Amino acid sequence: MSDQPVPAARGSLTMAKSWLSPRTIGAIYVWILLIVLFTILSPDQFAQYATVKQVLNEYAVTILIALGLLVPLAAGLYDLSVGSVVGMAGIGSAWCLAHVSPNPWLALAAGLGIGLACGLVNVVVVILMRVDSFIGTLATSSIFGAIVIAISGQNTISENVSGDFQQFFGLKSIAGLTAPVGLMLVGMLVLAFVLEKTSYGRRLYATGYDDEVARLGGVNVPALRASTLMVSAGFAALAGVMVTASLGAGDPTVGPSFLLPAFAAAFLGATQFRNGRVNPWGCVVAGLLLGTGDVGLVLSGAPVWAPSVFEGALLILAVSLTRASMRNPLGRLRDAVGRIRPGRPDGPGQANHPSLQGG
Amino acid sequence: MGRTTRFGTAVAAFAAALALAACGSSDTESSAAGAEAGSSTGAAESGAVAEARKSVAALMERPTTMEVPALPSKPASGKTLDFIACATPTCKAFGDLLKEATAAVGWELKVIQGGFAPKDIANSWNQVLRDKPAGVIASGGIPTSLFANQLKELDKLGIPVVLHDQPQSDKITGVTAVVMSDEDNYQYGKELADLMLADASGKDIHLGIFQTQQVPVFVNNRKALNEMIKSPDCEGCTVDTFDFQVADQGTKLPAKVVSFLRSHPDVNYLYFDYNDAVDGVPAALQRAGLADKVKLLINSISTTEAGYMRNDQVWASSANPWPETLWKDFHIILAKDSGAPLEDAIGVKLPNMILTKENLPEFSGALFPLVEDYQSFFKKAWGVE
Repeated sequence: MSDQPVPAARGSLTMAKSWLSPRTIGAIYVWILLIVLFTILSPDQFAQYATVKQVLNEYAVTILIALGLLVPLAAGLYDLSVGSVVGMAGIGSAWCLAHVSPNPWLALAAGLGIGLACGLVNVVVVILMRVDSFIGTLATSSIFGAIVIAISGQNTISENVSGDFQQFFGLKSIAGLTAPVGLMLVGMLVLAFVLEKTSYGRRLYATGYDDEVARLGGVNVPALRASTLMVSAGFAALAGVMVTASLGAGDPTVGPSFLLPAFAAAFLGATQFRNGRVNPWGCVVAGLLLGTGDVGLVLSGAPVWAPSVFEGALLILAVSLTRASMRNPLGRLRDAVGRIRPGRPDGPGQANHPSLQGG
Repeated sequence: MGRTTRFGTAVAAFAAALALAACGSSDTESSAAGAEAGSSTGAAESGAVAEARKSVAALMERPTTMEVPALPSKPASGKTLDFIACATPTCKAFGDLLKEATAAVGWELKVIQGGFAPKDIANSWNQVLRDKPAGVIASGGIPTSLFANQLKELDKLGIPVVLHDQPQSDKITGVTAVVMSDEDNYQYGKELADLMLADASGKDIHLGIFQTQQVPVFVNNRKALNEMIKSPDCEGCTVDTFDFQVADQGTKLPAKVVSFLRSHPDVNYLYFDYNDAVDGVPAALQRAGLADKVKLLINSISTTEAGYMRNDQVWASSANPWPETLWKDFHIILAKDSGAPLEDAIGVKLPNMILTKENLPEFSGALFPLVEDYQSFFKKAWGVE
């Protein structure tokens, strides 16, 4: 590197170019492209405030779950149980409304409590029993799903759900935006502060990069990772309660279907702003981008399979726009799967630290 | 591959995929029918509307009786019935209804979880083959080609199989009877068509149909709706369809309904192939400010949708008489088991009704009967009351 001082204007220009590079904010460019495209395709319907409301209201819950996922991902853990935790909290809050009290706040507390209890189970399995997070949370997801069926008898629970509870958490709005949108925005800001401005956040990323180095640096890795599983469960629980409020019923079938979209938003978001590092800004942009595509495609009369093509193509595009192998979050998934292959010396018990390559 | 090349390739691939997705041939088609009829067909229209009103008035009354032919002898107890449930909450409730029916004659019920995925369907039918029960009832309207081999095996074993919500044309070797088939589903569609016709006085019905190809039998309900819209009796009426995936219900589907309505601003009636598909839709419409724009109609109803109906969020439903249907399924199994004429058992007429907020009965379980004491008619026929 040259010792010559870089002129301030040139430095600012370089920084701006870096910030505006498709490798940093590729999804924003794709988003703008989509907005222009759908405005041309559906001029009367797309370019309206109603579209903004729709995308925010209908995709806030998925983004809320994705935001929670970021925290364990940052620390090098996968939480595959979030979909089932959504189901647990949702059916738990509905059960509380039907059998304990119609008080919406009590139902919210019940849903959150159940979600956090699920998080505690994950902590026991992944941290205390040292089961690989990929496998451990997959297993607990299955158990939580079974409990949902047991609680609900596989029936929807609707008694008292459509009263104050639905009004408070599913319908009441400010400027047309409902509670989940507010929770999503608050969650994004809080996570951004915690992950980027606190020592806790720095320790999380350090643990995610290399847990051994973090441990030698004085980080209590097990405690830190345990906290991340509780955070993701808390976010998923909150989302579950919101889903029940939105449906006007506790539905035992809906939770698991949020898992893949939430992971897609988290992974896609990691390709934005922070060069392959999971971050809340990117996560929210990614979620809204996916929502914009879904809404725009239906508005423009695309066939039923179109949103799936769109989501797949978008994920490929966004990942290929980043420095593919260096800090690609999907590389961590590949590493984790590679580690749990039978016969590998660093098998399941060692797979709890899927460090970022080249980070 | 260089960075520029990779970037270019990625953008080109995405653009191609997006173009394919956005410009692919839409499943949504519109049909403006009756326009040519004009005002000259006024007399015919009013006749059709009057007929529809008469039919609707009769269907708003709750039926009170059923005719169930008696079995030649009391069924032997101690046998087992296998029930393959589909993956929706409503199908789970079917198992509860059958449990009561089987208990009435001293049979055991085994509920096997089916599903919509071919693997799950095959697994459930393979389980039945291992069980070798005295009879099998299956729900879900799934193409029989997915379990044709198992049906043939059951046929060889002489085990009766009753399916419901199944296309008649799909009937193949090994199926003893199909209950609630093409004709019944056509009738449910016709009832809702008449209701719309009466409500709109035969004019300007702009119907949106949310349909799934995953349950083929519903094509009959839609056939009746389409016939009404396209007939000269319906002046200035149109129909638009939207295909959805069963897996999207309660999650992505409500948002898609909002998008559909925004892209079809003229739609004033919205029909869903089955009840669970509407879950979450009323709240999504309210959030989008579209709740007062359309009347929602569903095929069948359970607790959640009944709540919507009481809150004026769902306008009307055809009332599939599920308890009576499940007991009829079992009645056919018992008839086969006891050597009674199958035609009589299959010919048991199921009750019909249109449900709105005004005539929706109070009920606590997931499903409810149209004939309140339907069990007594079956129990009497079985000689156990």
